[in-house]
Amino acid sequence: MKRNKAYDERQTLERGKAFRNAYLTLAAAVLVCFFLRDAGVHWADDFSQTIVCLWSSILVCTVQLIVRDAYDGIREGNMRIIAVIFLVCGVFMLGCEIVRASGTRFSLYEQIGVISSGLGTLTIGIVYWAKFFRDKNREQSEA
Amino acid sequence: MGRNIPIKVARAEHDMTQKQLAEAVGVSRQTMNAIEQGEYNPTIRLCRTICKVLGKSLDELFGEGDDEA
Repeated sequence: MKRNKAYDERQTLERGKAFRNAYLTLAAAVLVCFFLRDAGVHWADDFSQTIVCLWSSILVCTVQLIVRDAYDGIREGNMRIIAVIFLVCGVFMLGCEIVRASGTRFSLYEQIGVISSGLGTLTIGIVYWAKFFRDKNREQSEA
Repeated sequence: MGRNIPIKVARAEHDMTQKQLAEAVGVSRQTMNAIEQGEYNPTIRLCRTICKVLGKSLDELFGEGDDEA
C-alpha cells in the first residue's frame, strides 16, 4: 500500500487535538445553551441555537487544522477553491443580513443562526488566506 | 523549545530544500518546517531517520544545547 507522506506523526497529533477541542467546544456550547434556557434567557430560537452550537465547534476545529497545518485530506488546489467559496458565502450571508437589518422584518432572535454561519464561513476563509500569504512570505524570506 | 539550527545547517550542507528533506524522511514539508522552527518535537524514530538522511548523529542534530532560545 502506498504511504501518504502528507499524513505523518505530527498530523495525527494535530488532528487529534483539533477534534478533541471541537468536541469540547460543542459540549460547552450545548451546556451554555441549556443553562441559559434553564435561567429563562431566550436569546435565539431552537434551530438557531443548534446552528450556533455546531458552528462554534466547526470553527474551532477548522481554524486549528488550518493554523497548525494539520492534514485535512483535501488537495491544496481544491482547498484554495473551497476557501474562496467560504469567503464569498460569508460575505453574501452577512451582506444579506445587513440588508435585511436595514428593513423592518429583522429579528436577531431568528437570524442569529444565519449570522453565525456567515461569520463562521468568513472567518475560515480569512484564516486560510492569511495563513497562505504568511507561509508564502516566510518561504520567500528563507529562500 | 527553540529553533533547531543544526538541522538547517546540515540540510544546507547537503544542498537540500525543506521539501526534499521531508520527502527523503517520509513526512510532509509542514512537519519538517515545524521541526526546524522548534514547534514540534519529533519521535525518536523520526529523529533517527533524519539523522540517517543527513549523515549526522542524534547528538549533533538533537543534542541538548543545540536549540536556539
